[in-house]
Amino acid sequence: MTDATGLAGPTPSPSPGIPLDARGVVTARRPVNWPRLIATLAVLAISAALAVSIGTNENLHWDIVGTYLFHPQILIGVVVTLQLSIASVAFAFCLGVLLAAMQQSKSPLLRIMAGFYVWFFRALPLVVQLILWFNLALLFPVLGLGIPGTPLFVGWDTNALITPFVAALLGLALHEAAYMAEIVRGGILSVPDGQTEAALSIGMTPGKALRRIVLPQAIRVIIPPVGNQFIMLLKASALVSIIGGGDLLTKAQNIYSLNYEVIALLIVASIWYMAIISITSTGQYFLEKRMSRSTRAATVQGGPAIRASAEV
Amino acid sequence: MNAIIDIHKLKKSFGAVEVLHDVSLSVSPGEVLCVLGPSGSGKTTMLRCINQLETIDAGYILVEGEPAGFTRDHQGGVWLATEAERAAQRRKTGMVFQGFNLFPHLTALGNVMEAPVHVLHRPRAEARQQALDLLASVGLADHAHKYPAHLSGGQQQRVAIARALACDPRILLFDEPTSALDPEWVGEVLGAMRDLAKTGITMVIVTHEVGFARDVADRVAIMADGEIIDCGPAERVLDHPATARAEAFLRRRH
Ligand SMILES: Nc1ncnc2c1ncn2[C@@H]1O[C@H](COP(=O)(O)OP(=O)(O)OP(=O)(O)O)[C@@H](O)[C@H]1O
Ligand SMILES: [Mg+2]
Repeated sequence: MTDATGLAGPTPSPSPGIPLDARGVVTARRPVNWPRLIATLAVLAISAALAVSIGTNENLHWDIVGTYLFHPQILIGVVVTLQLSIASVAFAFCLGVLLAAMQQSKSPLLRIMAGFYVWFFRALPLVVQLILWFNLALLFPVLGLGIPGTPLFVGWDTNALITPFVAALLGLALHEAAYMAEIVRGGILSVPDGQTEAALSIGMTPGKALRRIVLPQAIRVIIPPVGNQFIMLLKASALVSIIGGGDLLTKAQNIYSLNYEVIALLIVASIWYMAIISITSTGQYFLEKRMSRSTRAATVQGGPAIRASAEV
Repeated sequence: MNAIIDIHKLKKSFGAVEVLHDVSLSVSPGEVLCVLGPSGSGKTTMLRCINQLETIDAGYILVEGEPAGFTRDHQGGVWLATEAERAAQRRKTGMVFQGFNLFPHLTALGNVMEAPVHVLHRPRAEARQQALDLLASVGLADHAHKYPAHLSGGQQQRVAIARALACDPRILLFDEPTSALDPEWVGEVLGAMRDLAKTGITMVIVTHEVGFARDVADRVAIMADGEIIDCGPAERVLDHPATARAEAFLRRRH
């Protein structure tokens, strides 16, 4: 039998010479970890040297960084970068849902077309695509609606229609849609087949089952990677400067091509990129935490553990 | 005899493996039919064919006289049904799954209201009242606003029964509704099914509960290796099986 405390056997006697603090925790000294100390000092020294050489560099005009940080042109660039990223991520998401739905389709042709799209836009470098869109007029001088072989009903001059902004938007969104399609498809596949079957059994068509039952559940899995893609897109949007997309980097380049303060303006652009991305990443972090919480709540459905705990 | 379900020489293969060989079976309106049989004998597959969750390879299934998966035109020509037509046909049969398959993002009430509101486009208030009544009829009036994750297995399965009833089907299909349950919840689900059987709705129940089949079933069918090896009044089939295979199966069950 055990004693009243529930412990069997003799209680160990306190060994002499072991120092305890007021709460009874053993107080002991920590030995020096030499390798870690040396690594820390080395990293500190290198960082300090870098900071000093940058901070005191005569060629780096911090005062100019200061004057241009909130320059109207730079602010316009920030807005354009945000517009481009938000618009293309939204457009890409819609197209991605469409492509993912096509990949689920019973029609082999639709599946093949969606697969081809994803393959094509993932294989083509974004920069090449941007330049292609920008130069679309070389291929189709006029864009319009009509029946092949007859005059157009309506037509527009391609150069007027495809402004650098439109070319940038098209390039980013079409490229991004290929990745979104894969993310949405992964989300759809993460929802058990039984959900679709239950939806069909209560009389839904496959399309309605996807919209009303599968996608609302898939969205928990889809949102976190979409946040990641948005951050990647924010950075990738700097590429549109090569077609003069009017984004943050384009504006910085425009200014330094006049005043030759290349480094100062690149620093201005970098500060803005880092600020925007830090804010977005923080939002992304909290979103992801919320999503994983609600996903956990949703997936324990029917598991023995929750059944037991729900009843006690 | 006017069967409500008439299965005629149904064949179904997965790849090269034929799992249903010329299954024929008919169910009368208001009848409770229990299907017993060893694991892998094709019980689930047959049920899924009735509800068009699987396509059939040969034979046909008439549900309320209409060929499942097909429509007829005025001249009597037979056409493959469109997705919308198939959805309308499925509405006539409610299905209760082994793993419940409740929608985890909706409450119990939301699960039951989903089809009346979004498939039948009934007014919300009316659908809500009907759903609350259905939940009450399976003993879940107090749990209407809980999410599936916060319900016990037995409660989830009763919500699933209420959901299957929400489109006013004349037929309910059950696929081993109590096999995924802890033993303590089996009784309440079987109880809800007993109550349902008294309402006169047609029920096809795949189950391993021989005692339940004896109590509730009008007829019992025994399946083995993709065939129905015995089918008839519950007492007769359970006590005096017609074939040696059926007898061997039932002996193992007791
Ligand atoms: N989707 C599928 N793909 C391939 N084979 C399948 C599929 N579904 C079922 N089968 C096979 O068909 C046969 C019949 O399966 P079914 O699930 O209908 O049996 P069951 O009688 O319901 O068995 P259980 O009592 O274990 O539920 C089995 O051999 C099974 O492996
Ligand atoms: Mg089965």
